[in-house]
Amino acid sequence: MMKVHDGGMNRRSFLRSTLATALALAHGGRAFAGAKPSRPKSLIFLYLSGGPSQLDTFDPKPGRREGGRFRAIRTSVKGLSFTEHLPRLAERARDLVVLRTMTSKEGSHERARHLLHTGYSPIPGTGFPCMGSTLGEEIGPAPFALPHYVCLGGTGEKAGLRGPAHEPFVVRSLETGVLPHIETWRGTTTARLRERLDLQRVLNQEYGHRVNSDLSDKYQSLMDRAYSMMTTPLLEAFDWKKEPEAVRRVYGEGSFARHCLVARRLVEAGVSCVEVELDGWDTHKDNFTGHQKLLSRLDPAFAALLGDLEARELLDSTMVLCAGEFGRSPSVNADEGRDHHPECFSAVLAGAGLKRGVVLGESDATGGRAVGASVTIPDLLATMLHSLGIDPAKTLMAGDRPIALGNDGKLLREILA
Amino acid sequence: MKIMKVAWRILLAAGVLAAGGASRAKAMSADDLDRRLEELWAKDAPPPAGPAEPWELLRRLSLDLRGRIPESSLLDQTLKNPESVDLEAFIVSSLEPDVFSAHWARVVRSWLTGREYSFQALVNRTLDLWIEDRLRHGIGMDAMARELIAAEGTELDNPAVGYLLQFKESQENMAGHVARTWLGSQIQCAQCHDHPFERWKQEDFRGFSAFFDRLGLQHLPRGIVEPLLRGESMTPSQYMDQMPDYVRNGFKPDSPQAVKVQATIDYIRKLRDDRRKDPASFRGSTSLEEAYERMKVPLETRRSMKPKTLAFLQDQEKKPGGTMNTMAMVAGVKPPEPVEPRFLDGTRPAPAAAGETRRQQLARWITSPENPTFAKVIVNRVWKQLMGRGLVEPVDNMVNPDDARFAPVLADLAAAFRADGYRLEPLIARIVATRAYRRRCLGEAPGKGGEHRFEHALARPLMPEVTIGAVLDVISSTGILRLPEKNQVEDMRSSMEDEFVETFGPGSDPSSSSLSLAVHDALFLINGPTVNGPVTVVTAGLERLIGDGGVAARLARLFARVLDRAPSAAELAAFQAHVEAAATRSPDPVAERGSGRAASRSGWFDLLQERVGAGDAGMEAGAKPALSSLEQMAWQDVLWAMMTSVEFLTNH
Repeated sequence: MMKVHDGGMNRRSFLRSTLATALALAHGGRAFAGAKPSRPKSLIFLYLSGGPSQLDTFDPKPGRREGGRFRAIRTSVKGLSFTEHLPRLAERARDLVVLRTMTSKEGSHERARHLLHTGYSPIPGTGFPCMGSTLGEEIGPAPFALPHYVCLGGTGEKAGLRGPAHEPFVVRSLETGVLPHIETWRGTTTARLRERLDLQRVLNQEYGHRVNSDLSDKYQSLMDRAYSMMTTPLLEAFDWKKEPEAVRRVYGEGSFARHCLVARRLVEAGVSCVEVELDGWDTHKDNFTGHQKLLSRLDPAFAALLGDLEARELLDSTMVLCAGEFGRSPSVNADEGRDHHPECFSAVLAGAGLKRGVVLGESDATGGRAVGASVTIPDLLATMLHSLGIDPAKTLMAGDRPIALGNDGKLLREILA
Repeated sequence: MKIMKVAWRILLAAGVLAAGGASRAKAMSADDLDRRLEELWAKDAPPPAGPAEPWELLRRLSLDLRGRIPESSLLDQTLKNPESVDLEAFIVSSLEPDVFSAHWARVVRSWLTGREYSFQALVNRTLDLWIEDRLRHGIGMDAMARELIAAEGTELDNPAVGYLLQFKESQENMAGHVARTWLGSQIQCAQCHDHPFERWKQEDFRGFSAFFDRLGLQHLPRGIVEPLLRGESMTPSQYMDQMPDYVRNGFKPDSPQAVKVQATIDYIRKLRDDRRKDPASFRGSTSLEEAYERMKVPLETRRSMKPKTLAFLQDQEKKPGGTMNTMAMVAGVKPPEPVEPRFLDGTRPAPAAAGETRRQQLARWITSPENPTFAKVIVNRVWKQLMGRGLVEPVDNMVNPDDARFAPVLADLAAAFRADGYRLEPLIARIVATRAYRRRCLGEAPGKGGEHRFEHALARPLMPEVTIGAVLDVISSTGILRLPEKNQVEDMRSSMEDEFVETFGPGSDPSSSSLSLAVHDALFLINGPTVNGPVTVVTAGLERLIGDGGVAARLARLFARVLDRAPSAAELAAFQAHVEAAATRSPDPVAERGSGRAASRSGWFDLLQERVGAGDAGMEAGAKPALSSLEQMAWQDVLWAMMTSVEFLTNH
C-alpha cells in the first residue's frame, strides 16, 4: 500500500498512480505467473434497511399466491431468475453469489440489524464490534487520512470493543458534495484554524504534564486526525461531481446511486468498508409499490457498481454484500403488505475471493422455508471475513468473555473460489 | 452567592445533615470512609496524591454537583484568597433541591437511556423533566425505580413510560436493561442459551423476562389522547373517527369491538384521574404543545418532530376487553413458550395482591429493603459518577460484589443510603466530603488494567449536556446575551442539545472513564457551532471577559474564567505571543472573513445571534476604545483554544 501524505499529491494523480500500479501488477501477474495484485481488500455493503422481500427480489415464485404481483425474468446464469424489476442485475448475475436460505434469529429491526452487522444478537453493554469496524482495524491501511469505515445514507453500527477510532464515519447525505463539518466554521480560514489548534495543543500538553498524559495524548492524536482528514486530497473521493457525466449516468439518479458511485471512489482511495444504506423496505403496507420504487434505484446502481469495479480491476479485491436484516412473509396481508420474515430470505454477494454465478440453497415453493440447510448470519460473516483475509476464529475479550469475530459460523466452502 | 459560615463539614461528617429525618443512619464520617478505603489498599499501593488545589476542587465540585462551572466571583475569590472560601458551604448550597436536581436528573437519565439507543430527544427531555421533578420533591431512588419499572399511561401524562418505551421492540432488552441498571446484573448473555462461563442460565433470564410478558403498547392518535387528558369525554365512535381507515372500516357502535374501545377510553381517563388525585404524582402535560413548551423544545425542532401518535403503555392484567399486545406484533419469530415469572434469586412472586401487576411485583422486589443489591448498585453508580470508577466494576455487571476489594465500603455506604431514604443528596455529600474525592487528579493507575484504588482523582469526560452549559456559562458571564428569565441558559442549552448530544453523544459511553470520541466528534467540535457559535458572537463581550491591563493580566483573567486556574509559564508565553502578534499582523485574515463556505444550518447559532446585542452588554459610555479587529480575533482564538481543549471537556 502506498503511503499517503497530506500534501504534494492531488487525488487525481494519486488515483492514477494507484490504478497504474494495479494495472502494472495485473499485467505482471499475467507475465509472471503467481504474482498477484497487492491491493488491500475492502467491502462495500449495500444495506437494504427494513428487510426486503426475497420473493420480490432474488427468489421469485411466479404463478403462486405467495409470489405476489411481479413476474420473474431470466438471468445470465442458467436456471436462475430474479424479479422483473432487476433487469440489469439479471445481466450481471454471472458475477454474483446468491444465497437463498439465509436465516436470522431476530425478527425486530434493531436486533436483527445488530445481528447482521456484528454476527451477534445484541447484549447491550457488551460492545460487539460491527464488521466495518473490524475490517478497519484488521486490514485497514495505516496511517490513513480517511476513516476506515464510512457509512453513506445511514448510520451503520457501532465499533464497540474496537474503540472510538473505528466508529463509522456517518454521512447522511452527499447532496452538496461536502461532508458534515469537514470545512472550517463560517468565516474561519484553514490557516486560522491551524493557529487555533496550535494554541489548543499547548493547553493539551500542559494538561498532559499536570493531570493525565494518556488522555491528553489520545485527545491530541484525535485532533491531529481530524485536521489531516480536513486537509487530505483523498477527500475528493467523496465528491461524486468529480466523476465524468457518462459514469454518473450509468449509476442512475438519486442519492443511492450517488452513494454507490462514491463507495467505489472510496474503495479506490483505500477505505476498508463502505456501507451504503437504502431504507424503506419495511413494507407492511403496499409492499409492491414500495418494492418497485426501491428496486428501480437498487438495480441500476448495484449493476453499475459491479461493472465499474470489474472494469477497474477492483472486483478481485472488493467484496460486495447486498442484504437486509431479514426477509418478508410469503403471505400478503390485508394492506397489500408483507410482514417480517427472518426464517428464510436471500442475500447477494460478489467479488473478493468468491465464486461467480453461483446459487446456494433453495427455498420451498412459498419462498418462506429452506429446503435443506440454512445459512445463518454468523455463517455468512465468517465466510466473508475468511475471504477478506481475516481469521473468523480470532477472538476479542469483552471483560472476561471471549468473542470470536465470526461467532462460530461455518465457512460456506461452496462459494469460496 | 452567600457564603454561610457554619461548620458544615462537621455536620456532614456526623451525617446529621445528610440523614435529614432519618437520623437512625449508621453514623459514618468522611474520616471513617477514608480510613476504610486506605485500610483496604494500604499494603501494596502507591502513596496517595496530595489534596487538589482549592480552585481545582471548586471546579470539580461545581461540575459534579451543579453541572456548571463556578461563578466568576467565587472563582476569583478562590484564586486570590483560597482560605476565605468556604467550600463546605458551597457544597451545602449546591445540594439544595433547586440547584442540584437539574444536573442529577441528567445523570440518572443517562443510566436509564445510556447513549446506545437512538430515539427521539423528546423521550430524553420528558424523562429529564420527570426525574428532576422527583429529585426536587425528595423522592428516593427506590420509589423512582418503582415508578419507572411499573409505569403505565401515555407519554404525555406520565413521562416515566419513556423508560421502557425505548425497548418497545424487544421485551428481552427491557428485562436485560432493568436487570443491568437496577440490579447490576448482566443476565441477557443467557437470552439464547447457557454459556459455561456465565453465572446466569437461560432459565433465569426467561423467568425474569416473564415479568414483562403482560405489557401492552398502543400508539394512539393525538386526537384521542389529548382530549382524554384534558378530561373531555369521548364515545367509541368519536375514538374510531381518529383511527386510520383500515382500523375504522366496518366498525359498529354496538359491537364487542366498541366495548373494548370504551374500556380503553375509560382506562386512559382513570389513569389520568388517579394521577391528579395523588398530590405526590408528577404533573404531566395534556398536549404535545404543552409538553414542548415545558421542555423548552426550540420551535425549529418542534416542526421537525410532529408525531401523529402517542404511546400508551398498559399492563394486560389491567387491560379490560381483551388483549392487544403489539410488542411482538410483527416480529415474525415464534415467541418462546410462556414461563412463570421468577426473581433472580430463584424465588417466585407470592400470589398477586389485588390489582398488582407483574411489573409492580418486580419493582417491589427489586427495591425491597431485604434486597441488598439495589442500594449497592445505586451507590456504586453515584460513586463512579463522582470518582470516575466504581467501587466494584463494571457497574452494570457486579459479579460477586461482596468479594471485591472495596466491598466493605460499598456495604457501609449502601446501608447509610438506605437509612437516608435512598435519597441522592446525602450520599453525594458523604462522598464529596472524603479525602479520596479531594485528591489531586493524575493519570490512570500505573500499568494497563492496574487496579485503581482512589489514591488520586481521575479525569472524567463531561456529559455533552454539561459541556454545553459550561460554554454558555463562559459566554453569558460577559453579559452579551439577553437573559429575560432565569432559565435562559437552560433554554439555550436545550437548543444546543439536539445538535451536540446527537453528534457527540452516541459514540461516547457515559459509564466510560475515558473520553471516547471519534473523528466525526472532533470535526463537529472544531468546525461545528458548539464553540464556534459563542466565540463568533462574543466580540462585544470580549473586553468584559478579559478585563483591563496588559496581555498577561488579561490572559490570567481568561484562564481563570474558562479553565479555573492560572496559566503556566509555557502557556503564558505561547498565548502572549499569539495576541501580541495580532498588533503587527497584516490584515489579511480579516479580509478572508466569510470566505469559508457556509456550514450546515445551525438553529443554535441562529438563536445565539438573536440573543446577542440587545442584552445588557455592560458597555459604559466613555469606556476605552474597543479592541482592534485583529486583536479581537486573536482573543477569540485564545478563547476557542481553551474551550476545545481536553481540559475544558473533562472534570479533573
